[in-house]
Amino acid sequence: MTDEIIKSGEEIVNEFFDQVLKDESLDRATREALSELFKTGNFSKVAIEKGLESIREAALKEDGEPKKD
Amino acid sequence: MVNLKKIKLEGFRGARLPVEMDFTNRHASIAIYGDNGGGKSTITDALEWFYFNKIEHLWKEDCKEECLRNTHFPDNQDAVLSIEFSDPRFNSNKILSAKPRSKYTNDTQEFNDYLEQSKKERLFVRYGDILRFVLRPKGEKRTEILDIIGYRHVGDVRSTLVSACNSLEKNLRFRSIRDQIDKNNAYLMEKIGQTIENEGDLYIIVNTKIKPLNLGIVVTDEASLNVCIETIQVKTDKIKLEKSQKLSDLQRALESLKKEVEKTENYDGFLTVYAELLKDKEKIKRIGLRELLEQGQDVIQDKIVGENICPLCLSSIDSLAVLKEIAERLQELEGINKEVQEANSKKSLALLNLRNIKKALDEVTRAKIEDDADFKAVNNAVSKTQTSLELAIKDVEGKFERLEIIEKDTDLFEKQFSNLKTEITGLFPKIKTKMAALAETEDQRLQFQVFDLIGNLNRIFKDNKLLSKELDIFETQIDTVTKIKDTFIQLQGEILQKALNAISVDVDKFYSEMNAEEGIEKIRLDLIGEEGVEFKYTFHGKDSYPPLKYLSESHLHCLGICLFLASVKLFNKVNKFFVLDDVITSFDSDHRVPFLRLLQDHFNDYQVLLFTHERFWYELINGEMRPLGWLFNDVTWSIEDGIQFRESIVGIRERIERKVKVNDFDVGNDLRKLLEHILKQISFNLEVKMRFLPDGLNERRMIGEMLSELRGKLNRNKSNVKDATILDRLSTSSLITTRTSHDSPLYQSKGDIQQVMKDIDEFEDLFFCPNCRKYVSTEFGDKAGKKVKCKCGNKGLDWQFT
Repeated sequence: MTDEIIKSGEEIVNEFFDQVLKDESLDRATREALSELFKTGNFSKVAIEKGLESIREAALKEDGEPKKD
Repeated sequence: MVNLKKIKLEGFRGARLPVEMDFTNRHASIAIYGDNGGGKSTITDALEWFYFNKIEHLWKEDCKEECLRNTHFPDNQDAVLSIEFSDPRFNSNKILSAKPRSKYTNDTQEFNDYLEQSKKERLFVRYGDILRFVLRPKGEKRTEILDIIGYRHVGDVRSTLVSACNSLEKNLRFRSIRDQIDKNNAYLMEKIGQTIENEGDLYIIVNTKIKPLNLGIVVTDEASLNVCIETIQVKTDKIKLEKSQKLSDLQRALESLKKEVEKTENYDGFLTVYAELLKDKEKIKRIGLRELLEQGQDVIQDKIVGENICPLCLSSIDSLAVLKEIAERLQELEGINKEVQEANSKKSLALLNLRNIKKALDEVTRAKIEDDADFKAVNNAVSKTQTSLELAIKDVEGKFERLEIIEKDTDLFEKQFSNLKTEITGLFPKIKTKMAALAETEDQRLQFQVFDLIGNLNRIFKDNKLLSKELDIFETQIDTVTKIKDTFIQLQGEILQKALNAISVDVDKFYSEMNAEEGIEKIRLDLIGEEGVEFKYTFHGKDSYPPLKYLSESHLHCLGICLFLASVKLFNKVNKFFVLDDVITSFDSDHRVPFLRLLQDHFNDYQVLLFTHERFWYELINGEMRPLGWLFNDVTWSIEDGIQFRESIVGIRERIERKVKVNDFDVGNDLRKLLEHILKQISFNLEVKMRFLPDGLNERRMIGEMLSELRGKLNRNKSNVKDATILDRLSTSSLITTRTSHDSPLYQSKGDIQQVMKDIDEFEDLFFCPNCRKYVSTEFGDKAGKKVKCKCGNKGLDWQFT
């Protein structure tokens, strides 16, 4: 067997999101939201959609929200 | 690393009364024999629950904590699973109350860390897990392999990122914002020949437009722009200005509506795809079978009702062929599901199309002028179209869900839309005339125009500013999630291939050792495209895949077990034990000894818990593994007591020998148990009939009765061994004549015991073949030759069939 240390799935994903959180080339609010959802065990498509929608709404409130359809 | 020292169960699953497995201070490996349904899996379930707080195969069927307690266990008592490890810091009970709630008695941080680490390890594998990945449709195979090597979580995160990304790009609000900005920009291009990017641009254009009005105002900010608008209002006829403004708003709303009703291509595109899909409605309904087929697949793979038996009608089936067919059907359903998803996506676009028209109609309604006969016709047309359009939207939403045909409302899409366009086109010159009539002088006309224009420019600029901000946020989010997704996919590919390479080395080695010189070589796991992982190998020198192409069921099993063992080597960093729960069932005899040798050669330093329901296999394990210090135990189950361990028959011989060696001659019970076991096996194989005994006593017969009935059978069938002297010796031995043994030992010397053992062996030899290790059986009867034989035919008895 190879002597190379192979990381477990959990380790890989945890490390990945740690990196995402630190990556300043990525949008801060989005990376924080995704990392938070992952760390709290709520990482699903619906939760991501809702999380990102909240970010948009909060950002727009600063200038007044445009009318939605 | 950590080994198991002791496991105790009470009130959990099949274990009603306390059950204990003692691996001794050596933390020995153990082989456990038990019939199907005999409770072996309770031990695997207990370990899975201890580490993962759930039992996957039960949870999948929605059987959760409430199914974990033994049904006969008193409600006022806690079910307890207790595990002692080689490292006592991790010893803990896990308690399950009747509520049901569970808790560990060990709440130390180091224990919690140990549990967390253990969750990442490959600690057990069940029969159903082994073959499942080979037989899944291609799309699911990758997920299965990810699961086997412990990377399911990685696959789940990847799928979530991909679907979140797709969903963001298809978000209706995102599309609607882009449409609205495009529409606003089209208006700007038409009126001023440019778009407005910032306040500076807006004020320059406003200043240019108000210059002919000589207002004496220079617009430099929002306040001066408001002053400018108020000044124009003061300088002109306010009532007429408002009327002109109203006409202008209406004109703009009508222009927008005209454009919207001209583009219904998304709606038409959806109807085409949907009609095609509905041509085979039954096909879509079959998607509902997916869950059932997956459950059926699990039931057959897990052999819940037995091997090669249909779980529904209980008739005989070829499980492998059925599983293959189910896999094909699931793949077909996956294709149908994709078609439905595509239609669903087109439905969203069609609804966007219709809702945009509705929005334009609403704007016209808001801007409508009622006190003018010239607008009556268009007002009526708008009102009628609104009603019809609402019905069309409801039609798409409702009928799609019910899979009903959606007929295009030709009255709406052809007649009413066409009528609207005609009315709107006819109205534009009238609006122009009315606006012109409002302005009595050229100056007034100019004032009206400028007022309308700068009002619109200001509104559109503000509108676009907010919309652009939202669009920017959307695009940033999409860009970020896409980058995260792409990076993750790339990373996943790299780490997966790295892990696959590492595993492949061992899989190939293990498989080769178990299947020497069979033409399958260079086994490796490779990524195939973005979505696939597959075993590749050379078959007599030729590159091949998938395994199903050339490998038999037994070989596929072998491959599955090699994959599990390779991942144990690779991933288990804390625990030095693993459970093989009835995984050898479909191995043919050629693979069994090599498998045990593989465990000896590569896993001698691991603690193995090996469960089986095959007696012969169990005895083979005894022969091979006992010298290495393995323990042996049998598990039985009864409705009254649940599962219980009983001393293994292969363990009894060893215990007798051990006791005799130290001059402990209290072996009467053990000798009786040994003879009982042998008699039961012989009686079963020769179909020796006994009288029925009630209340579970059939299993607790006396040796004398069994021996007497056997001798009767041998006589009736005129067997050549009917007069064997060993039968007489056993019939009169103290094993039969003495009922109890505890108060007064049966034997007083080593010689006595050795003689009885010799008698038992001699008796067994009459019926047992050392070559195939099977008893002679009526199953292998030769009526013409008047013989009953063992499986291989080397051992035979004269037998007069009646």
